[in-house]
Amino acid sequence: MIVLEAVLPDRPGSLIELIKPISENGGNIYGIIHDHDKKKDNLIPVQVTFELKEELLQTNLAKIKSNLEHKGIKISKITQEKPQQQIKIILWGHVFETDIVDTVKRISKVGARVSEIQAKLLDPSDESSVLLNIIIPISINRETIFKIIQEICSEKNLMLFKSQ
Amino acid sequence: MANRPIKLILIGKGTVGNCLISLLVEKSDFLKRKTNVDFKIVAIFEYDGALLNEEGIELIEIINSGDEFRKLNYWKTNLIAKDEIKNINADILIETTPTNSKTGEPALSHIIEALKSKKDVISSNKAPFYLKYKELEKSALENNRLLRFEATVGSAIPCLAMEQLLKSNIIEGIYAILNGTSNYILSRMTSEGIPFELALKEAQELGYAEADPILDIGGYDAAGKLVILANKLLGWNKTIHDVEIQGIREIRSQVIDLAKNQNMLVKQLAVAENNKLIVEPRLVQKDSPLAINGTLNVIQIKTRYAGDIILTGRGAGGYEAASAILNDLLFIINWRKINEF
Repeated sequence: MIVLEAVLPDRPGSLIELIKPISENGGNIYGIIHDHDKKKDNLIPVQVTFELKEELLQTNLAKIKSNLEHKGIKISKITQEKPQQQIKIILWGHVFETDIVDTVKRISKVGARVSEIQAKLLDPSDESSVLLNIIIPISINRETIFKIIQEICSEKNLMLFKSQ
Repeated sequence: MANRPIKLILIGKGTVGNCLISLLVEKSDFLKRKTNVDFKIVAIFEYDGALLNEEGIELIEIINSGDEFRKLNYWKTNLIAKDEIKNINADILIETTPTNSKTGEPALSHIIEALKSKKDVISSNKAPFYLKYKELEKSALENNRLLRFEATVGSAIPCLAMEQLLKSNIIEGIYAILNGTSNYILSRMTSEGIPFELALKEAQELGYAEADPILDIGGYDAAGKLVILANKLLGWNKTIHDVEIQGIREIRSQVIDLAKNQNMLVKQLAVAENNKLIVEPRLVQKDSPLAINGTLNVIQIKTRYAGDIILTGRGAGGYEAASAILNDLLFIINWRKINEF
């Protein structure tokens, strides 16, 4: 996902001028934020979020930049977000007593990120169920992450529920 | 095909066998119209003997006799199916005995004997196919016989038939719920918030679960069916011993509640992909096609060229299985119309 930020003069057709090169170079536009409230010196900040296919990323992103510069549109910032996948798991057992911080750290160590934790427990010393939302970069195979989690569960005697 | 009566042997006069007899009577006109042949059951075996009549057993008489069929004058006691199959002049053997998950017997021997004595075979008995699939396929091939077993997985849901129907596609994986009892228990735990033991008791009282429910809740029944599906649809060569199995007995209400908070359900999924077979409880999105309730079964076939194909329906029951057997029977007759009996 690419987020392109620019400032455009407040006149009819200027937004089209910005979008056209993105679309003509294979960009699939997901959203446009055209923030009139932040107008300053007749310039409005615009943020376009779009996707370019992996094989077009290098060549066409350069083309988009040069097309926009050629039109006199000043790009303030371009950020490329790495594509990610998300999995949810539930752990059942003595999740807290077996050091949940260690569990999270070990999942993070292989490149995944635990972004959310939810728990149901009667008493911290009882068995509990804990849901982890895990963000995995697309470059990492989710099976690799599951393997690590499986190892942790075997070691800590936890029952694992994977999302489908 | 010769326009002569097709002779059948039925082994097992339990729920499925009895439903099949009823369907054969009820649909006799339809079968005659569809195939242009008459069907005669020449032998019905039970564990302690058999009804034998070379001219064809009068099926109405069998239905009317109910449990008293052993009093009929063509009942022969102490006949063992395994020993007699080769001696009976018949075209097709239908095997509906209860499954023996450890050995597959006596059904396994019945099927082998029938193939060896040049009879086509239809079976609703699972175990021979999740224990000795390749051997049975090989025997059918060597003897130039047809071996059909649609009723073994999902009863009347035509999931094994998808192998033929999706011939030009590539099947890449299977996700399924194949055990109605487990699905009923998990559905009740989810909808009513009741603990596992209570949901199991309820399933037993309603007749969905056996007194010893280990095959269902332990995941073995689903695992056996998954093996058959994977071998047939994906062309694998697996047995039940290749399946990683985890049952549902350990699932607690807190896990189900937590999943519900996230719009997910806990389901006993049977998964075949990447050369691995797994039966285990997994989290399924509430809007997933796999999020079915009650005793239903669902089979999600992942194809390369057509995305997911979903089959859902009642995965058990006498008439459901009997109708699948009848379909297999029609398949064999139609096939034999081209290739003489």
